Amino acid sequence: MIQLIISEVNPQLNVEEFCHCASISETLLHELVEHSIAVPVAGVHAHEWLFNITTVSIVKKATRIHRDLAIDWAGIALALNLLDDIEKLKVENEHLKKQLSRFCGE
Amino acid sequence: MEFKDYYVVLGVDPTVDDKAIKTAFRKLARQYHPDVSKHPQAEAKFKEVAEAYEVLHNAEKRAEYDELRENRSRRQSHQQQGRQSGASGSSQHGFAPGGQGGFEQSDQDFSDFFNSIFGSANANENGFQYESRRGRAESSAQKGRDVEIEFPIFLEDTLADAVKPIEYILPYQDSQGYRQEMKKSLKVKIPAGVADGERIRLKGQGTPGSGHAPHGDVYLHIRLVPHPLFDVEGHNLTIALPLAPWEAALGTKITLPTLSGKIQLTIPANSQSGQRMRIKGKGLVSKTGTGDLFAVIKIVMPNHADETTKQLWTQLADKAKFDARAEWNTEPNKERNKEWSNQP
Repeated sequence: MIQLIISEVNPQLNVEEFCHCASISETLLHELVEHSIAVPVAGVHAHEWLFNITTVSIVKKATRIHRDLAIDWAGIALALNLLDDIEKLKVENEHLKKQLSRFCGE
Repeated sequence: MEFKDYYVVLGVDPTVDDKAIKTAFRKLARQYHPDVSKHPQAEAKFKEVAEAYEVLHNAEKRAEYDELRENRSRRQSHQQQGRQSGASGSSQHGFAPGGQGGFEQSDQDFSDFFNSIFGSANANENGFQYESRRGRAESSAQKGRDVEIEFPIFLEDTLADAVKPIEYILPYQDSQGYRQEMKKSLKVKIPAGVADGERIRLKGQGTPGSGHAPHGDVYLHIRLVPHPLFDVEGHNLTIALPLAPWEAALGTKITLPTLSGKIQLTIPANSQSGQRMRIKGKGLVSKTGTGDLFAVIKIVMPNHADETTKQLWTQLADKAKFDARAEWNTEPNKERNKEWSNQP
């Protein structure tokens, strides 16, 4: 019999859950927050921080780039911002192209 | 098994030092890293480059590899001499190191070639590890790996809670350290209002933990499947609404498709191309409420006109007294043209 699973949409993770999920240490998380690579969605003090689940993939990407390309965290923060901008522009461009073909195409 | 020339992969001479190998790797890694590259074969290329680096930047492995490489080239030249002297040659094809021992199960990231030399377990013990290689066997209890799965979903299915079946393969290492796979089939409740890019956590459905540690989790990465009629703008939808010129001029009633079924829509007289008509509450469901559907008018001409139609268009042209390009002759435009025509 196939099991029915209860799902959680965009769960917010505390520091411990986040570190496990992203396979990083708490010390590294502090550094990533300092560089705004990981941005908590709630909590003023470190022990109260909550992170959006989507931040996990950003942090994983950051750690892969750090490990494979030997770029420092400040450089990675900049690279991630630029990659994000490129991604947004690509999505917008695709959207506009689609709209254009709907209104001007055959 | 095909022999891999790691020096060729990194584009370096076999005599270069560790620094040059590192430089070559960094250059290729920047070019093919899956997180930054748009190259269609980026991931495969990067793995190849990473594997070559894994071997060549480690003195011990490099020495072992160089020895095999030299033996192979000696064998090849020997075979060549044999063939030239009319001998039948050996039946050896490609590369079979270590008396064809090797491993039955290849490591999930490094090639069979690598595993046959260094073993799949060895791949997990050294410095370079790619994403999926993190799930190494640990003697201490450790929570299982989390798994992320792309989950395409139709726009229609986001309007209300839906139960969707999902099947996936989970890789894991058995007690002997061999890589195994298990197939999982689940039914997942997808709540109404999920949006593109969101993640849904299925707790404890990832790979098994080691010791008595809990399983990892599965994260479904929501991807909205493009719709043939509707475009998504936040939680609003848009649809192109084609109208005949006379429908736009005189107004009409049409049947408009929406995500939740067809509705009747009144088009007012003198509607313009590009005009947006808002249909409240017919967009996507979201946490902040339901979005709207915008029908964007697109005036479409018939492809062919018979004689009668042509006559009617001619009558209309005579009577309408309408200049479609009137804005070209507005005062600001005239002023601007004058100003720029005086420039040297």
